[in-house]
Amino acid sequence: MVQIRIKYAKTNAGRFLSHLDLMRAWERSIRRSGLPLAFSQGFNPHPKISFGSALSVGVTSNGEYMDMELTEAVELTQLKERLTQNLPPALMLLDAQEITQKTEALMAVIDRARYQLSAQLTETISETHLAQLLSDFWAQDVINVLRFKKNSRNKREVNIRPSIFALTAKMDGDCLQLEMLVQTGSTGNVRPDEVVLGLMSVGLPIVNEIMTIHREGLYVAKDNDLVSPFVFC
Amino acid sequence: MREYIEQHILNKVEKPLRYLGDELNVVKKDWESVKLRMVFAFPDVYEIGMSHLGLSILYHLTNEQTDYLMERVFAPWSDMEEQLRTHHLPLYALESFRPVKDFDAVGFTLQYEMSYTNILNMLDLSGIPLRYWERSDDDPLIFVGGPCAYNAEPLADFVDVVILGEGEEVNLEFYHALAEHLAKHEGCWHKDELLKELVTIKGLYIPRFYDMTYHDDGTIAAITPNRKEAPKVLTKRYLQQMDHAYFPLKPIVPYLDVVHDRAMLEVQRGCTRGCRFCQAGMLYRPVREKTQMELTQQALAILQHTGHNDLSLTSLSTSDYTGIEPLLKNLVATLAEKNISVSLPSLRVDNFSLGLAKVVQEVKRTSLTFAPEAGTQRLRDVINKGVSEEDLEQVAKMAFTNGWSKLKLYFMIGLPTETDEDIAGIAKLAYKVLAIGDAIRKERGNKGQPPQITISVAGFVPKPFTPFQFEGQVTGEELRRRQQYLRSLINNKRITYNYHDSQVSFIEAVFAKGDRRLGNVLYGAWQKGCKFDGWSEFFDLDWWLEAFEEAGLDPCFYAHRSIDYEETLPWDHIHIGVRKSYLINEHQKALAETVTPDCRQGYCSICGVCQDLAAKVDLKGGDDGANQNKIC
Repeated sequence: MVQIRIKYAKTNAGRFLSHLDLMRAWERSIRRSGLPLAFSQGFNPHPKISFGSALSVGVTSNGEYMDMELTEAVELTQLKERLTQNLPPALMLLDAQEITQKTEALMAVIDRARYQLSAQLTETISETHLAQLLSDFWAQDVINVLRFKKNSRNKREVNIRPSIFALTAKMDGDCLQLEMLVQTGSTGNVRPDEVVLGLMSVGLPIVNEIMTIHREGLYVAKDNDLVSPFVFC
Repeated sequence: MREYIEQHILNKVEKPLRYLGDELNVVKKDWESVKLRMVFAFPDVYEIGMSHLGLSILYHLTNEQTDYLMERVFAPWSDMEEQLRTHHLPLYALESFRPVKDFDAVGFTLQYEMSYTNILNMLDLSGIPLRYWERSDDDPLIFVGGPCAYNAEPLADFVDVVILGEGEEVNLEFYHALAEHLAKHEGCWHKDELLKELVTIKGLYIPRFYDMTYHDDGTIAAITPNRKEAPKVLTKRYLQQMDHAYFPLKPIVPYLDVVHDRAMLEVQRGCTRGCRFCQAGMLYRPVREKTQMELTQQALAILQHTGHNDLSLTSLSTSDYTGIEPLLKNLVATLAEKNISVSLPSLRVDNFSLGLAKVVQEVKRTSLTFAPEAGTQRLRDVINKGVSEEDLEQVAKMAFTNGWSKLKLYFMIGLPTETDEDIAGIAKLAYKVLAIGDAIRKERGNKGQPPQITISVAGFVPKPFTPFQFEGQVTGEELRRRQQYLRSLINNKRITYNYHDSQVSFIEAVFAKGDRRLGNVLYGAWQKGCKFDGWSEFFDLDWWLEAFEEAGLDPCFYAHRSIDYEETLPWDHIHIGVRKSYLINEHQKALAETVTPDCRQGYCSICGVCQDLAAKVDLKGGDDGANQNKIC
């Protein structure tokens, strides 16, 4: 058995794929490429594919990860070529590396995500005003957002402030452009639109519409640094 | 337009992937480099349309021709319709995001009568005037095809051209004529002239070239061509050679979980079992099989190009394919190691079919479906469903013995000559099958899942071009009484009883056998808001009844009236090969409870297809062709 870790992009055409759609698209792409995909044993064999942090529907990404298991080794250049040729317009292969059985699962290691977000405001604000808003934002210890409780229709308050590690903002006409680094994965997850809500709670004018959200990448925080999930390979 | 829709609209609708295109194997052609630009319009949601094999065949066939381009559009769900209307955006085709109105021609497929209002709504959303006389030469040409096109009369006000029959050949002849016309007129339609040119192509029907006159009682007096070029009788087109026929090997693979989310391979066309309620059985005669060798090659190619993990062998009755056993065994053996399963969409009630089910369902042994259609032997003889009580008992025994625990049985209610005894027969059959299952489980010391039976009961809708076209549908009230009667006879937690809304099948019956006067009803109903009438969340009978009243028409006249053999029917000028005299004869045999054997068993009942169309039954046999052309 050979383990392969894959880095891929979810393109504009692919941003509306749900997690299930995504799994189907990958399984089919691997089947088309003729790679010797491994399947689980039993009555209902499943392909051995696992994903990193799930991506919200509607969000594009330049740094998603997936692990798959093959029954025999395939030369990496060839593997990349075959996958590239067989992916649908929704997905784009960025890189592939062999990992070992001992490599920690994606879900277990990934804990940071970088997003870019563009939102239309009801009014334009100046750069100085925006800078003030950001410093007000950082000054808060608590920024609460409402989230659904698990298996319940009720909501609870969650403080997202400790899970935001970087945030920059600039105006482009009446569009606010944000770039942020937030917590993700099994240790907790902050959605980019929650950060917008947080900014509104310190005085950002009403957001008319969030136009695009893009995930720039997924990382592992290590010794005050961010490393790629490939570094563990 | 694309950018605007992507940024401001798609994030506000449920399932944006319905409106985005860009699937694997989609064909995007250069607008400027072709001579004819068309849209294939499917008047229902994406997930249904993308499960339709006809779309896949015609879309890819057309796009493989250098001179033509064909894109797709589906009926937008109500949330998307609202967004398009609020933003004043026209309905667009998925490949290029160009407005549907910009294309030269728009072809709607008619799979189901209850999608007609969606056609009107899609034209309106496209900014195309609905009635042909309101359209100018700048508007696209509107054409229709598919099974309901054989009686497209209710749509006569809205369409320019109707294609009768299988599209593989006639569509290309049609497109050729369209492209020639455009070339001759610098890319513009001169529709009056065009339609006259199209008359010469066999299989094309132009409703406005025919006048209908009516008797005082509402029945048709005469159907008369009003142009000397228009033929008195229009004959359907069909493809004689199914082997070597075009079949798409690189079909589009949707991202969304569509209704039939698997590779589909058509193994044959046509079915001559002769069930008297079945329209497809009459329309798609004769039976024409593909060779095993070609099927195997096509199966592997489609799987290679799509990556699907399930292959479905489709046709009206796949277990009737003469080479089915070796074909299946071969495919299952080849595909098992790739973890690809094979499925059969329809099974006959016999041990042979069960044997096939055993071959394909080695792994997922859950539920098995059969369609006895009626509860007593008498009524099964009336409908010519060649299934006996012993067949069903045997199959049930075999199924339970072989590890299946759930059986689904399909029936119809409201069939001609049906009595309460026949309805009670459905319940009896269900109990009998359950008892068989219980007995077998007892023999095995009550191990495993206890048997479960589901009976699904649909309301009978008489369809044109069937022996039962002369029959009226029972009233909604009577249908509900029969449904409730059956309900009262079933009182067991392990027998599930499903039945359908009778109101939808009432309107379906009206439009199935309707004439062109219904155009006003359709228009009125659409104006009131009718759309997606096949979906219970949208269907509104009151709107329909109002529309009938305003048009001065009685829906019961169409649905409930039994029809005289001598009466001129709205579709009498259309010839599907099967003769009206044959349908009358079959209807009389039905009333006499006499069965008609399948012509594949060697007895020809002279339905007219082989005689009038010079068509041939084409069976390949289990030996891949050596046994072919067995004459009926």
